Amino acid sequence: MGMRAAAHFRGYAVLRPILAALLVFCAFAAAGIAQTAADPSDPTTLQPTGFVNDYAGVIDPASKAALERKLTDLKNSTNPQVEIAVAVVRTTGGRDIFTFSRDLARTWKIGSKADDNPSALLFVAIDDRKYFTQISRDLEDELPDGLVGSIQRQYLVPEFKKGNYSKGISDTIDAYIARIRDKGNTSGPATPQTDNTPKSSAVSWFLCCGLAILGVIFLIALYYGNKGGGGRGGGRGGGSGGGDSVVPWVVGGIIGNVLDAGSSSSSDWGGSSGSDGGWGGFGGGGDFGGGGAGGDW
Amino acid sequence: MKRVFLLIVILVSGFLLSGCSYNELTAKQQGVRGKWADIEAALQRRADLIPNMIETAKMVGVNEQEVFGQISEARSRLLNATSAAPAGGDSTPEQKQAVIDAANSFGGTIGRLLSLSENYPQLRSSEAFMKVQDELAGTENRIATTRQDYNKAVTDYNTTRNSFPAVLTAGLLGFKEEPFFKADESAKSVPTVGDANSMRQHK
Repeated sequence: MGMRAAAHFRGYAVLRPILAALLVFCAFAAAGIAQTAADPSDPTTLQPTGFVNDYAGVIDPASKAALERKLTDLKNSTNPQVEIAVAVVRTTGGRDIFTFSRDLARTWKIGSKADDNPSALLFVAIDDRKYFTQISRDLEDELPDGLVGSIQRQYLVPEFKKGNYSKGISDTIDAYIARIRDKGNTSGPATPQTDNTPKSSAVSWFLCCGLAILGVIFLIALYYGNKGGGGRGGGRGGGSGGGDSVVPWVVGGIIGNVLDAGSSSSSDWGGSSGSDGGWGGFGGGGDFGGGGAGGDW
Repeated sequence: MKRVFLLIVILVSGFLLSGCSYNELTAKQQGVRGKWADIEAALQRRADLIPNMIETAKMVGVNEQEVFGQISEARSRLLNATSAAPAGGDSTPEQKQAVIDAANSFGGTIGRLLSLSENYPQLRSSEAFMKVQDELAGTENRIATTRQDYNKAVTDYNTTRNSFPAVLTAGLLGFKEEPFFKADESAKSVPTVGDANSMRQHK
């Protein structure tokens, strides 16, 4: 009986380094997930930095800031909130521009989370000389495909032919906004919605942090409690003690990674949007069903 | 005796387990129905637009009686199929299959309609025609998108339905396998809608 117990104990001691290794692996995996490389040919890896996302560098900074202001203002002065985003890339990497821009609009979840979430994405692939505007299901009444095509042929194509990308894009956006306002979406409480979201996310962030800290304290207490118990009993082997001491390190590492990823990504978003610090990501809609129109120049 | 008992235990536990998957199956079936309703809406839109498109094309001097005839025929087939099935996605898999076949019977005719401005350069200066063409291209994009979403929902539902333990009782409870909306083979040979836009190249 005594021999059996010893064998069982030895088995546990063998298992423990494996468990520790697994935890280390998990920590690395978490770190890997946190870092997503931006592959421009895959719409799901592009990260938005504001309403205007110029990955090709063709919009001049002044126009970009003006557009950003205009689109922020549109969102804050409409009810239901209208979110329009702009994305400019070099190329879609051989992918169909409609599919690429639709997947991008869905991945970014442009539009509010509410049932009524009018939103749009003006997408341009400079080197492919193609453009497409995705219209969400709730904006199709204001901007039907035929009108979207007309607006782009009228404002975007002629300027793009001359190489005036900034003007082509802002004139097109102006026409969209004018149309949305014409259709009666002008009334809107400017502040309530925008103020509520950061507050609630801050609350949940503190809650999350608090839970994590409590968890760490609990683990540390557990660790020291274990150690003390082992000391009193005096029968623990050195090897198993070594296995124990890895655990808090690994847990700390995971938490550190998560915190690090959170803070770095948020500073990215705030940093590159530049002038206004109000960029908090898109609303979470993304209800794009294939509406919109496009072409080339 | 012991073996019979074991068999009973397995059967009973299998049945109980499949009870757990009933709710899941119902939820996923609702998903399929919702996506199917989207497809029907997109197909209806296509059917509504086609006479408009043909009228506009005729007005600006397009004379393609053969294409117009084929499209009108496919359109009435589609309208027959959709009116046979109850609206709202409650149609049986067989009715869905009939609608899918009718939708595919357009073949490459829509693609030819969308590329008319290739053969008739004067169409490009007609904003009315370009607008209708955008609408039709948008409709095809909607069909493609809703088809993709529908197929995803069907994959999800069918996988659940055909895996253990749901497969034991799905048939008894009336959960049929749903058909995929496969794209028509002849439609694949013509340019997709994204390419149809690119056919408006100014050379």
